[in-house]
Amino acid sequence: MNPQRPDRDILMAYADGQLDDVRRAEVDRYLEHEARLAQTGEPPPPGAHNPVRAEIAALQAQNLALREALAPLLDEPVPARLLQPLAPPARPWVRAAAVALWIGVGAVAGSLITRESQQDGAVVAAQNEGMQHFVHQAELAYAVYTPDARRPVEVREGSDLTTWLSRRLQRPIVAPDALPGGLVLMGGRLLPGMPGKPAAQLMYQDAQGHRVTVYLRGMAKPTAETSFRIVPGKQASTFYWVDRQWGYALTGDLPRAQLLDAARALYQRYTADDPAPPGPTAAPQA
Amino acid sequence: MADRHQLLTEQIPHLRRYARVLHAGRMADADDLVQDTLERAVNKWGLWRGVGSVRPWLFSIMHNLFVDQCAVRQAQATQALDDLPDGALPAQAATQELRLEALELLAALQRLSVPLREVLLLVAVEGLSYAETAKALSVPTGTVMSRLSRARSQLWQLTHGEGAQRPALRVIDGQRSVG
Repeated sequence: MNPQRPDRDILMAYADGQLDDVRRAEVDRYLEHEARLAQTGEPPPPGAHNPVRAEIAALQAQNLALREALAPLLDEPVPARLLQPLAPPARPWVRAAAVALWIGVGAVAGSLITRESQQDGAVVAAQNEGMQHFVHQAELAYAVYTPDARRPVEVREGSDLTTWLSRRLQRPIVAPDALPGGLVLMGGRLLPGMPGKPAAQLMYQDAQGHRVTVYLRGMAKPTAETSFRIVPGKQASTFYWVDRQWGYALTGDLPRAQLLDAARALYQRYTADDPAPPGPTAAPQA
Repeated sequence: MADRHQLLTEQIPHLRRYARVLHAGRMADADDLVQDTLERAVNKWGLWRGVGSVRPWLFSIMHNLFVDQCAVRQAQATQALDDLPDGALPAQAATQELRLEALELLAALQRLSVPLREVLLLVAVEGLSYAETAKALSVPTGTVMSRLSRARSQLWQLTHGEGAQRPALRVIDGQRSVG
C-alpha cells in the first residue's frame, strides 16, 4: 500500500525538525516512495503538483536563507550600555571599597570604570566575531549536505579525496577512515570558506545511518589554541576547536559524549605528528 | 546566580538581532528594547526557573515589552512602517558580507506584519520549537503554525512572485487579533 502524501502542516514541521520520531518516519517513508516512483519513471500520484521532496527543500532553503541573511547581525559589537544592567551584584565589602576608591580618586577612577566597561563590550564582540560565523558555516554545511540521499559528498572516499582537498586547501588534509562510534568515512567536498581560504567538509556515517560532518577551514586571523567548545543545536550539536590558523568543527545528531569521543579522536589525529607545533599540523595521508 | 551574567551576556547578540528586525532596522530603538529586556530579566531572574534554555524566556519578555510599546505608540508605529524605505534593516549590515539576495530577503521580511515576522524569526532563525515559540508569544501552537505558514508564503511571494504587491499595513491589527 502506498503511503499517504503528508499534509502541509506536517511538511512544514518536518522541514523545521519539529516532528516526533514516528511521524518523521512516516514522512521519510513517503519520500522513499516518491523517490522510487521517480526512478521507475512512473507518473506522480494525482494531485501532487510538486514532489514532497521539493517542497521540503524549498522550506528548508528559506530557513537557511533567513539564517544566513541575519547571521552577520550576531557578529556586531555589543554596546557597553547593554552590559551594564548585567553586572553581578558586588559583595558589600567590594562595594564599600569601590565607594572609597571612587571618593578617593574621583574623576580618574570614574574614567577608568567607564573604559573598563567599554572594553568588556569589545571582548564580547571579539568572541562573537569570527567564531560564531565559523560555527554557523559548519552548521549550514551540515544541514545542507547530510540529508542529501543522492549526492551527500562530492568526492567519495577511496578516490584521491585527501590529495584533492589538500591541494585546494594548501595544507595536508587528514581524513581518518573511521571515528569512534562506528562512524565510517563517506567522502568529502570543497566549500566556500573565507576569501582566499576554501573550506573542506568530510562526512561520516554510522551503521544506523547517522551522519556526522567535519568542517575545517583556515581562520581569518591566527587564534590561540582553544579548548573544545560545544554549541548545542535543535537538530545537531557542534563541537569546535581552533588550532592557530585552522578551525575544526564536528557536527552531528548524536549524544554529546559520542560526539566528544569523535572530536577527541580527530583532534589527536590532527595533532599526532606535531604535539607542540607551529604551523599546519597534520601529516599528509595520500 | 553566579552565571546569570554569563547566561544573559551570551544572549545579547540574539536579542539585538531579533529586536532589530522587530524595529525594522532602527538601531537605537532596537537597543533600547534590548536594554529594557535585560533589565527586566535581571529584576525577574527568580521567575526563570532554569528549566530549558533562557533564550525563549528572554524572547517572551521582549515580545511583551514590544507589544506594550506598540500599543502606546500605535500611531507612530503605523507611520514609521509606512515610511520605511526598502531595505532599511541591512543598512548597517551591508558593510559586511551580505549578498544581494540576502538584502532582498531582509527587505521582504520587513514587509511582513509583526506577528508573522515574530514566528518566522523565532522558529527559522533562532531555532525555537513550535511549543517554545507559542509560549514566548502567549498564543496556541496551532496559531504559531498557521502564522508560520502564512509568513512563509508571503515571504515567498515577495521574493519570487511577480508584481508582488506591497501588503496593506495591518501590523497593529495583527498585533491585537490573535490568530
